[in-house]
Amino acid sequence: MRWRAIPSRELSWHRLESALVLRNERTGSTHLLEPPAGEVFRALLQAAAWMTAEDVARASDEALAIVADVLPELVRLGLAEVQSP
Amino acid sequence: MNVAELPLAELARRLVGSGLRLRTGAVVTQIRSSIAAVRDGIALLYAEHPVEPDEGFADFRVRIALRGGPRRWIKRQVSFQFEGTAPFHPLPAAQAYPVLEWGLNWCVSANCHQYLILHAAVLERAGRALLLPAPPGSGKSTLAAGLAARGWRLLSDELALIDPGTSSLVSLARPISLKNASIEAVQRFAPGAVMGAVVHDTLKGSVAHMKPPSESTRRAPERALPAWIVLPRYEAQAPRRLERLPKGRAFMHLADNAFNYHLHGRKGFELLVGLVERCACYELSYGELAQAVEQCERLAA
Repeated sequence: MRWRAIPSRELSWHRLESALVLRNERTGSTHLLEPPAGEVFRALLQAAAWMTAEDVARASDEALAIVADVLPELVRLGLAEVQSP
Repeated sequence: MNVAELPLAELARRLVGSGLRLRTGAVVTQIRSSIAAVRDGIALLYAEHPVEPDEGFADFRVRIALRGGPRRWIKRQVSFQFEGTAPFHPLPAAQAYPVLEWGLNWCVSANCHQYLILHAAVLERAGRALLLPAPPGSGKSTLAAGLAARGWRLLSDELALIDPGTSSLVSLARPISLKNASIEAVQRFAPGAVMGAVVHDTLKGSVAHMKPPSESTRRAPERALPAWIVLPRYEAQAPRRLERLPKGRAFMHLADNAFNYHLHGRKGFELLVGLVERCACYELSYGELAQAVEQCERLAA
């Protein structure tokens, strides 16, 4: 499976200390992503392209097991999209 | 002219007639009522608030009225009317004054969307504002009353109005609503504070209102820039504990305690981010009002 963040134009985000706060402009919902979820999401945002979980783990410097847990949660929150093979 | 300069008979005449146009900081409300408890509460608790001319502008027109109909012979009730409509169920007549205060809060929180409105008390010292965002029952108004009694300028005990253009806090400076044990706690802490009548058996228990200090009313046109965000949490017997609050959590707490954050869209998000970034953020647990006040004094020192 591959993953990517929703388009950046649909998102307002800001780093507050070690956390990310985000507003999804599509849904109007606001989220707090504390580490490691914030780091995983930042990696997706910066790539702005489809990534495997392994790519995200490398880019975020987080363990693959953590990344694998976080990515579906980001999809559930409407912050990321998933592409199945 | 302020309320105290109106003879009581003239105050009653205006309330019964064309309405009293009362300025509470940024807001002017035209109030009408023939109920003595409303008149007496306004005379006592808004004594130093400005009265606007009869023909002047009012943001809201409200009326506290005894309900008519046959039910009035069984149980006397009052209704809060806003622009000719009754947005709430009537309540027992003995609660007329609290109904006015609750209704005035509603007028602002439901209508003043030119501001980002947070459920928070706001006090100011030396131009720097302290926000106490919290849900009911957290000791927010109690702490606000204690700080006001120690010389902090009260902007509001309930509604923080943030101007999106300047990020400054706008004053409402109205009486502080105290409930149950906090009434006695504040009376003990500040015996000189002017308190209105205690009204029992409301939905919130016993309630009483404390008159804002004169300085807070006089300086209501002055805005303040936010400097501290403190989440108060009252727990009986709890030791005082001040802990740094991560800014991300402070942000979410403010968003969760906002009345109209969703209406401000991206601008509201950016406004809250800016607010949190400029403030030192803490959680404060307390069981004794004096200790909590002392802790806030230390923050501001």
